[in-house]
Amino acid sequence: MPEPSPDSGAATLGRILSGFAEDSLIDWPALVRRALDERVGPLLFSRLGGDPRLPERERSLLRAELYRAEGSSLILYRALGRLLEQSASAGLGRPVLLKGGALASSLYDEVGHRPMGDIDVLVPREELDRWLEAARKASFRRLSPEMSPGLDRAIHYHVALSGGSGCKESEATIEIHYGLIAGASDWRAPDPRWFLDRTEEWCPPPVHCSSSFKGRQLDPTAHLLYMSAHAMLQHGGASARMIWFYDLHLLISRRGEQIRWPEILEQARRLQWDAALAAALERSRTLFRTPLPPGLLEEIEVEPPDRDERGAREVRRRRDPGRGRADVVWSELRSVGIGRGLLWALGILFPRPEYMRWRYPEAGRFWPAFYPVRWARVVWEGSRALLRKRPAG
Amino acid sequence: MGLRRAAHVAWRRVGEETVLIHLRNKKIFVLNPSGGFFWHGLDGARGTEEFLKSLTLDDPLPDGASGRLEAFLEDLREADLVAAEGSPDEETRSLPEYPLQAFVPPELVWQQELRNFGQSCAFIAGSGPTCDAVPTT
Repeated sequence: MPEPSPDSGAATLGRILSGFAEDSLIDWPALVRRALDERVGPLLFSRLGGDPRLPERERSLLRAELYRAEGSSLILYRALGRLLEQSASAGLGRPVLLKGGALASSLYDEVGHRPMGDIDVLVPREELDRWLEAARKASFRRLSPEMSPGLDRAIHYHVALSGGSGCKESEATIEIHYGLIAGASDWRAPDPRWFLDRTEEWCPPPVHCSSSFKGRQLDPTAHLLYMSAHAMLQHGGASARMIWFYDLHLLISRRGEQIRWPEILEQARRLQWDAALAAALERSRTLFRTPLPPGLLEEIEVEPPDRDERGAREVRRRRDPGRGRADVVWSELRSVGIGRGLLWALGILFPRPEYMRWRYPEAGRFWPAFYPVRWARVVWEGSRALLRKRPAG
Repeated sequence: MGLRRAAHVAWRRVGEETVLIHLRNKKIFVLNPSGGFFWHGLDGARGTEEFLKSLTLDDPLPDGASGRLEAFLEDLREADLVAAEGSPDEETRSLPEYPLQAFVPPELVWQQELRNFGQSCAFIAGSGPTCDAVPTT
């Protein structure tokens, strides 16, 4: 199941980011816009900031993006520090940082080269209530109300919190994950304990004005597997950002000797993540010439006799760039099974009043009028999805 | 008593520049290397003249150095990045580890409001005022 070739803009960007000379005629505004969309603007600035070919306006945009990323990371890590101080005083263990929050300081040359909108931490599911209480004491609150009571724990795998600064204007978002990729009832979801058993120390970047705090991060083996599934099974190849593949590229390039490939392959097969792993690694190699072990992709492609095609089908579905919201929701509903899917569907159609007031703030006291608006939208988007032509495969 | 860094400001050194963020109004400020040097030295104990006298430079101080430093501190004050109140910061009374070999006017070289926090431009599809705004310098 080969990955589609990247378009010329992505290919050019990939070559520049991986340090290969790019002599072709470059449409700089388009390249910079693409870099910003793909969240690699600061990285591009680090490569081209001194290149005389880069027009001044584009240089300025990239430079601004680097400073924005630096500023955001300062706020996020301060908020994380507050949460970790509170959780430590509540006797909770160190959480496991995931993705950008972990990698920005442990893998990248400069924190601002890895833009992030929030920080994700993984905690044991049985400790979730204590973490939420610690977060509340550190002045965090839920970013959005639950759609219907109990839905979070039945379907979802993280709670998004906002706050932590004591100052409304610079609130940060921290997502507390008690599962990975999907809710526990979803076939894509792994047992988080396998990942929680494969961690290493993580230290924050030097952020002045904050006390020191420490956390943990997934070791390179577990992180590689998780990030591949996150890109291809949680979000899907069509909406996956280039920065996620650059994360993989950097992890393999810089810590490749610590990656236990046989363990990754075994676990990927067990979780039906092998197609996602292969697709993510192939995308990374195509974009950045990531140095994969010889024969690795071919080994993943070898299908065992009892192979379940569910993972491969899901990767193919999520690769379709024409997928709309209805396709995404339908795919999620199917992944959790009939019973919980029905519970979720009811939550979507009849969310509780707190959710409606939060979701439609413009409605004021007329928020009940937005139920029919919501239903009409479901019908409209569902019809569009049904009538849309899907690519073969 | 001299100025000290305000408690609502966080900062990091990025390459040779120093990036500050005002945590209340979410404005980002970037200082040139010389500005970063003086920023790190703002401990609340030294006034401008005392600060300049404490420097060990390869070259003598140029004329107007005191005025340039004053102007820089005034910029910081206007941006609400420094405070005069509070006791001197004992921990940071020493100058930063990286040296200042010659006096270069300290400057605030970039400032910009961090709009849509939690989103970089990368999170915003297409062009928009946030991402197309030319930062004020």
